[in-house]
Amino acid sequence: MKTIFIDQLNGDERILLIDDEKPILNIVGQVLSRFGYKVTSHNMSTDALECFKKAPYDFDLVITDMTMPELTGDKIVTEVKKVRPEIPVILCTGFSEKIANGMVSAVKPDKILMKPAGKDDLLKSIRYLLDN
Amino acid sequence: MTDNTADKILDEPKIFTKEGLLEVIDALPLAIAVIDSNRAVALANKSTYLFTNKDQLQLIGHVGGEAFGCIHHDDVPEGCGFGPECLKCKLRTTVLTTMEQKEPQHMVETVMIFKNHGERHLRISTLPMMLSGDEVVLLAIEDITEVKKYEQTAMEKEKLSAVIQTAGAVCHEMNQPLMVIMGFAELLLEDLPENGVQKENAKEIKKQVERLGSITRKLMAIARYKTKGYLSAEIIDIDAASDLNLNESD
Repeated sequence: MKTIFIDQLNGDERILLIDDEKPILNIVGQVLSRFGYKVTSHNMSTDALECFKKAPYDFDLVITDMTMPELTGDKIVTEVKKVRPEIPVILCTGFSEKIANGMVSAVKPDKILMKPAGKDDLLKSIRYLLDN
Repeated sequence: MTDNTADKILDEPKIFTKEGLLEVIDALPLAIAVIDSNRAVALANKSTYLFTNKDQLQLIGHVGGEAFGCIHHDDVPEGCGFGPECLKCKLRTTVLTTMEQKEPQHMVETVMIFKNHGERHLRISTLPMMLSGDEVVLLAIEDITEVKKYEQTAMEKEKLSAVIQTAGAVCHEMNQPLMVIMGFAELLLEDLPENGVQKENAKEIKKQVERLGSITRKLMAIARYKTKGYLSAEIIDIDAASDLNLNESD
């Protein structure tokens, strides 16, 4: 396995954050803001998608949860990539990566992050996707 | 007035000639043998020769355990029926009960270990009868080892799918709050001054959340049904059941 060392954790890009659980939005939002990112949070996945479709170039990266009541994370990935195929999308899941992989549709997210994920995992994944 | 003739006939031991009985039992797919009052094999059908992989000379006239190849026959000099294990032998007690009580025994299940084909799960049935003037026991042995194995596999498969479903649901629900606790612990770690006791405390919170995270990951990777003893009960052995080794994941 290739190991990539990324020291930089902060950035100033715009992130669309989608999770139906407010405590998750709260903490991930706080972490991202603290490291310089501009965060737009949504706890309703349909609202989030509408927001993205209205102004797809207002965001540089999307972080979405997998299991949500209205629109699941895999569908968000498909819809987002339909509008902007090149935008990096991180899918967070409380299921195993194997199950999550089996659940995602034809359009794959750029990164699957397993919950509970620490801030370093999250921030490094963001930098890796934005810089490569 | 009631007519007891039919009952009386049933109560009487069945009367057969050796030739007549052999003709009947040779046509049956079960291993069937006649055991005499000395516990020796008096008659055996074709399926019994197949089951024991022995010929007439090796079977007829030999005591049950020796004839069938029970591993305990060699335990004591007197042979079958006299070893310490023989007291527990269900085949022996079933035949003896049939003989003493003159009552048939149905579908008695037992496990026996044989010299030439190892541990087998057997289902035995007996019938007391008269054969050429002697009181004997007709013994039918069905080898249900494969059936038992299949039943066991099917049951474990069913249990496994229930365990996987439960583990998946529990993990998913637990990983959400764990992620939240992890995040807040990390923010605290950023804010607290170095070398303080509070910083150490926050580090410990993070460490324990990571520990829980590795447990939920192992639960997610459960691939087989394995249990271990826990006090007086049985619980799932997460390490043995999971495809994910804690050391590998670290």
